[in-house]
Amino acid sequence: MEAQALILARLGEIALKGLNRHTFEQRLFKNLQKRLSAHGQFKIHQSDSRIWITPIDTRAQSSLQEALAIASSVFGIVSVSPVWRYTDYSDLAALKRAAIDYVQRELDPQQQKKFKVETRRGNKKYPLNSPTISMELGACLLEHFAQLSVDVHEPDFILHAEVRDALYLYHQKQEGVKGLPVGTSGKGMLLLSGGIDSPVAAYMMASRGMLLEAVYFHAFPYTSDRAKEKVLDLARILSNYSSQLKVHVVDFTETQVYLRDHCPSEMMTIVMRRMMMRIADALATKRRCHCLITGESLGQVASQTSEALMCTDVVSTKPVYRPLIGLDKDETVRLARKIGTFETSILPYEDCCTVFVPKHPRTRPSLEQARAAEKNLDIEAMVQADLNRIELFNFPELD
Amino acid sequence: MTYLDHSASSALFPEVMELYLRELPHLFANPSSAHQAGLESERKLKQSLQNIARTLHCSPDELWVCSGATEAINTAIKGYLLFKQHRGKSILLSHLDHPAVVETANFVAKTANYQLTYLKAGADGRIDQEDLEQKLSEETAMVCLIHVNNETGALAKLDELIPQIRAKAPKAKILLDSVQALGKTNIKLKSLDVDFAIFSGHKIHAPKGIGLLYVKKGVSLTPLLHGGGQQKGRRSGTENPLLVMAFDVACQKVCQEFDARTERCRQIHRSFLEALGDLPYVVNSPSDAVPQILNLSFPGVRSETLLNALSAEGIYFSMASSCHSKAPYSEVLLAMGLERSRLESAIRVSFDPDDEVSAVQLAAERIRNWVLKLRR
Repeated sequence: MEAQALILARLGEIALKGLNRHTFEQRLFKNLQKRLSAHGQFKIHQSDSRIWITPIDTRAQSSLQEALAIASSVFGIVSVSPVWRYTDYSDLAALKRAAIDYVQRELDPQQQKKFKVETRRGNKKYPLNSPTISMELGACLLEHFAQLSVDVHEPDFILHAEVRDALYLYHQKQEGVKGLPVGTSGKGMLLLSGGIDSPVAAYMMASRGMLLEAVYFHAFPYTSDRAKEKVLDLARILSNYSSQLKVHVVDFTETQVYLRDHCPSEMMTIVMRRMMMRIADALATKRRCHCLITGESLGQVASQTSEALMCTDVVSTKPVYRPLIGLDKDETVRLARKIGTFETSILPYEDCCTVFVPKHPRTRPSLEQARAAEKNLDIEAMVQADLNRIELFNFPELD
Repeated sequence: MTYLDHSASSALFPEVMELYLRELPHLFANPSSAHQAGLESERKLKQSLQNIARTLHCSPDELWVCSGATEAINTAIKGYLLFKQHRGKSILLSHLDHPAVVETANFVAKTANYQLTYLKAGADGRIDQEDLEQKLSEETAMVCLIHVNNETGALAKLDELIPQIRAKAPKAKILLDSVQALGKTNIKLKSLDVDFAIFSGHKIHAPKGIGLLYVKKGVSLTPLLHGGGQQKGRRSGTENPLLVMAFDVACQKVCQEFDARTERCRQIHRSFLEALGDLPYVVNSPSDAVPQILNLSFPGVRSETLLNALSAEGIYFSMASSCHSKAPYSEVLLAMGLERSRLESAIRVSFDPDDEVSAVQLAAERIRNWVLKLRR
């Protein structure tokens, strides 16, 4: 029987956004369109807080699974359903044929299931009313399929029937990533390392609608090309969520060696992080970002005591968002697995923070100590020099 | 590029390349096929295996062709220890052994309740024979020995170890990892008196994908791979005659030209050290190690940093302390009792007779340069 497969996506928070709703929805559309375009031509149409995604060309038609996955990972969408659309719906007999066809396509004849039918009649001109349609379809399916039984109180699934310009049938609901469409909450500069935390922090900020750019500090030959590759791989994964990601790779070697040779060794970690923060801040200003983002969590490592965080925070001229600040490591790991960055993050390539760790780091430095440790440095010049030593990578990469 | 990592893997001999170009287009029939083409494949494979056996001083029937040394090691350890009731209670090995031996032995010990006992190693990178004497017993099922250590080049004193084992643990089977030994020391399997020996193709300028397991006549082993029953049921899977022919060519070359090749490596080894000049370094390899492998440390410079720096210049060698593995330092060097400054800065350079002396000297100079720059 002739039927077309498509996708129904439901909007979440942005439905509540009142006057700003249109902006948010437009943004979501754009993000969705952009991500889907890699898999063919899709028509995206919105009504109420629902988006219908219809494949147009053959490439799109054979990429429905990919489209479902994409829709489930675009921020702003709360759930998705695969749908079958039937154009022959003129009378009850046609509706019944469609319902039978749907169950044959979608359900396992071996599995006993309890169901009910819920009908929405968007087309008020349609001769039959919703309760009638539900009842008739329910009875018809019951008759045709031995594995099905009706239970209107606790069904295993609900067959949704929508009568609009055609008959739409669906029964599954997959969870989406929710959040706000990327691009509706300004832009942030992420300090990206190869560890587990910073990619998760990126994801969390993207889920609040923030556009992201990232900065990574590379220190050849102290850090390997593999470590850099790992960071770029993480960026590639993140660009699936943030719709795009520019990575600024800073050649940090000269600065790092200079700090090592001109600052007290126990203050090395703090001095280094303050310098990285300054560079990130300057870069953020240049790139019109509203904030910095890090994956720091309180007390997780020596450099993340509240004293140390205060020392690094003060050198930034913008807010520093640390979405993981109150999270347990277990929770971060769980999120990292969910977003697909965990496996890459745990590859054991060192980054510059681990290579230059002093034997006895000062874990609770005071601001005075931090400033004193830097007193011989021409900070302005060092930051400027590093801003001129940047290699830029864009994700997703253009073919 | 200046490739000084031959112990990790080696380039194909030109003779092997020629063999491939010559035979690959038409030598593709399955050696088990009943037709003439299959027979031809089989004939060439058998001939090569006979040659290899002659070179290694054993019988062709004692050689099992595998996909590599790792498979050979798995076949020997699992095939001997897993399937028949306890052939003794304990397995002796050391941290000088390659991870393929260590991991497989660990697995077998856990699975079939064997006791795993690690022998102590000395600062000379060899097994402590007094410790061996103490730990050998009637209950020893298998002793694993590494012939030439892949990280340091240390040569095991087999003429002492093997009689020692046979005297104290007559029932124990001896597994000899000769992967790095072929071409670097004389190997006559018949007179060695070991039960299993392991060889690898890509370490001797043959392609990757072939290893040999020597199983002494009379030793019974349960096969690892079942299927079509090739190699008399010992190791099922379509055989690759071309790979065996390549192994034969490479094996003959490294053994027949052994003296010249070894002498040449000695010269290259010397030139390398001379070119380091007055740079402070410590050699971790024992003085009587094979000349092809040199393990040395530059205290004050982390191995990975040095490797990254030289790699960017096209000079390639290996790290003994691998940040990529679960342990931060090399197990071998740890077992030898090296202090931290040496563990952190150890690199392994491996030489080949076809290396250009001038290129090797230049590499040493570049290493020297970087060490001076990076040293704290």
